[in-house]
Amino acid sequence: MDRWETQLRKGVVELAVLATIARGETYGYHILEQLRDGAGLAVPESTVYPALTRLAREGAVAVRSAASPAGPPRRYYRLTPVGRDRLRHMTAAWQTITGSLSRWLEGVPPCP
Amino acid sequence: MSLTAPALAPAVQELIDVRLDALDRVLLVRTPRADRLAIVQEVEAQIHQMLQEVGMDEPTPEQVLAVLARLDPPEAYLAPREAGGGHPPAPAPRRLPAAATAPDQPAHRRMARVSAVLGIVALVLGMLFPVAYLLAALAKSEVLMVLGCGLLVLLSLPSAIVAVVLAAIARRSGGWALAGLICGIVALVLMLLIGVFALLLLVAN
Repeated sequence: MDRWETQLRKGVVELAVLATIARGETYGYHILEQLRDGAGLAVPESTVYPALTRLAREGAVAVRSAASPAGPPRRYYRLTPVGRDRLRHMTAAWQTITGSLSRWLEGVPPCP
Repeated sequence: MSLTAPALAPAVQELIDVRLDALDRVLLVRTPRADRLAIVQEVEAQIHQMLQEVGMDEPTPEQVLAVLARLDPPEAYLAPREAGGGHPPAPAPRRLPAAATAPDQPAHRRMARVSAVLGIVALVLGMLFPVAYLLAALAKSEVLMVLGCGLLVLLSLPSAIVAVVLAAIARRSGGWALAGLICGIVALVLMLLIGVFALLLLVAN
């Protein structure tokens, strides 16, 4: 069951990351913090950082480096039109799937 | 190390560099260079921010290790990627020279197992040589000595050579290849010692 949940979380990380960046330009570690504290999604950095690089490579996010008060320069991410379009499609698909599944689960008798 | 990072004590910076280097090596085989550099940079930035969050302007090595322990291990970055939901697939992993990759073909695994079996056989045959020699000496039979010991050497030597060669070809196919390599080399060393022993006997006689 833990493995299923882990895979489920991994499956939605791209949507979660795009939704976080849609709230405003942000950097990698802050995305982790926002997902953990704001969305209640404790997604590991080993999943988020590769997702960010993939989104950047695919043109869904734009990246700029800026000096950081703590350590090396930070990479700041913001959504591109491609990213906004992708987020819109993923959100629609998510709402369709979760709506359908939620309705379906309502008919399931409670487990003893 | 970043050009703009505040200077840390060398021992502390080395700990961070070791972790980042390990992550870099893990990503080297499967990740495009630009992505690899970006991920390592993100992790480095996270480490520094985590150190600052706990008020560590001049952290000790122990404090840095505690921060590093909270990070995902480098191996976690090898986990299967999350589903992309119909988006274009990521580029195929870069192809590196054979020596830098871990071949996982069934042929290599079979080769590794054959190498291990031959290496063990060669080693056992080599270790039987003193037994054969003693038996022949007790029986006072030169024919038996030549036949017995010669047969053992004739069987053991090529087995050891083939075991080492197969292990070298299938070198990254896990424990079998390593077993074949070690047993083959030890058997070859045994053959060498037996050869020296035989020469000394001939000279003495």
